[in-house]
Amino acid sequence: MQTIKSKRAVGLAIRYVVLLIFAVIFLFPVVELILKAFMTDEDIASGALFPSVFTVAAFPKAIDSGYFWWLKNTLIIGVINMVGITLSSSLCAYGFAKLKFKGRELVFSIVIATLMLPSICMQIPLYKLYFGMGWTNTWLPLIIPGFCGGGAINIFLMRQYMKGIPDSVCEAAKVDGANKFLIYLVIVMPMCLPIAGYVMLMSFLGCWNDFMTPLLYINEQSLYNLSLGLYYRYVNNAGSIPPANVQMAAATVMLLPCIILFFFFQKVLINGVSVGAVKG
Amino acid sequence: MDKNMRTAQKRKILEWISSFAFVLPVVIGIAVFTLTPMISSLGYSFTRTYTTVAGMGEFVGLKNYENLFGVYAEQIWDSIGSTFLFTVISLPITLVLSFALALFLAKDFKGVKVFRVVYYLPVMLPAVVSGILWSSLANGSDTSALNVVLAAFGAKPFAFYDSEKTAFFTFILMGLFTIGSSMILWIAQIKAIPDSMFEVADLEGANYFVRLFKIIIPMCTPMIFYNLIMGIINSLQIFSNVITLNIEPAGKEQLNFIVVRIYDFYNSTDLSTACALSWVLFVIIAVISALTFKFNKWVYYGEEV
Repeated sequence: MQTIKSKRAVGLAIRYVVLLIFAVIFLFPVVELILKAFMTDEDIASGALFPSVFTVAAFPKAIDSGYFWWLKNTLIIGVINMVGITLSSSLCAYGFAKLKFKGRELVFSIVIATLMLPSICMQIPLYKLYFGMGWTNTWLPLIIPGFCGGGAINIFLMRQYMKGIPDSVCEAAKVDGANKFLIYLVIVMPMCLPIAGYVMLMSFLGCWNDFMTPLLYINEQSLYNLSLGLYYRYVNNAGSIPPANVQMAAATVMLLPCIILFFFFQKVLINGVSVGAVKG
Repeated sequence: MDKNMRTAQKRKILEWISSFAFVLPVVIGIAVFTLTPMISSLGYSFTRTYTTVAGMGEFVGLKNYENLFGVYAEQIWDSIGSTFLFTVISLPITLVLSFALALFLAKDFKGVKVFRVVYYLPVMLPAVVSGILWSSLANGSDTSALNVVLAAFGAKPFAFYDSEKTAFFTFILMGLFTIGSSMILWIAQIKAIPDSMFEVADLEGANYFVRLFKIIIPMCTPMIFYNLIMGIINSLQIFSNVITLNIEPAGKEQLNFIVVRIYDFYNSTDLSTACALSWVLFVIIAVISALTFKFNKWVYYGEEV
């Protein structure tokens, strides 16, 4: 009896030690990012891992009016996409999950097949299309595609979730005289809030992190999102690039919303992933 | 009678339209933002088109493809080689490590949530932030954070991103920090395995390895397949993580993956060569995905299939 117990305790201890070592490794870059943001220029130059004095001196240098402008742009684009993607993917998912019409399976398999297409094959020629329509150097390429289906993954997840809602509920509403849109709005959507929350969260974060789309279609500095602004300031900058504490201060502020959203909506996130994993 | 039939038919059509209307956004989306560009991309690849000039340029036949494997051959084969090397090294390590972590974290114990959050945290880094961060932490100078840590262990400074010899290795190593995204998927899949299976295994006296190889891994095969195929597709398209790095040119030249090369062509206004190379990439991805699908007999989709 005693040996089994002690054996278990040893097993548990080993598990914690291994996990802790990995945790230190995984935390190192993010912690170092935040610590470097609070360092003095001297600490940066000497390569200290921990600031000798905590200072916020780097923040005003990083967060100037340009930064705020890009932050505002990113927020606007993010919120519009959050609404557009959720709305449009839920409508499509409802069509695929709850309505029966000829060609449904075919259209759905085409939607899923688009997941396999390399996005670069579309993004380069889209430049010409956007250029022809006068969309380059506007936010339209960052916004309009979201309203057109909202991405195969989101449609797939929403559909999986909606399939879990019993058909009898929808049938009952139909007998009561509700039309398809009303059933979507009043019955299906309220039951889909967890997955809708996940899609909203992911589409906002996707937009927040998006770098490729603005890089290809936007040259105007006043239209940059935060990703592109930081890229031209700290990565692809022909002039002199500010020291690491300023870079990290800019990066820390950009990372902050991601971490806050992540901590608050962890459950939503992990549940959303499981919908695809378990029922997929 | 005839009239009745016609109204019945009309109703049927209206019914179809009102249902189809719900999926219309995605149909339009695929037509405009997926199929049109795919086809026009193929079209551009047979012409001489520039990003700076409106419209399609003159038809040149297979010239762009000849150029890719003629004038640019050395660079292109180099890119294809690097991209494959990256995929072949990084994907198996990612899959195995993330699965191992998931095995540790699938069971509920005290503090499990904290660990999951910690391992997932680096996935949340935006591409630009991650580029800025790693350029600073993993450069070759004595004062870069990783070299300071190495020095603390008494090791000599390592060149990391700053040398053509070590940049590729460093890039793979940095990529491993994002295994949290696959880990979360594995955890979801492992937790979905019915408890009854483990109870039976316990009754039979199965040890941990029997449970791992006879229950957990077979039940996870759909997710292995999904992670494998998406992993292949994503690694072959690696781009943002490279271009956001601010490192020595000698190091960056080693990270000359296919999409980086496509972007270079695009950036130098050569739209048609960029399109031709993106079609080469598309064919590579299609062939590999098709092969993977063909050999998916090992995937267990439950009893009903």
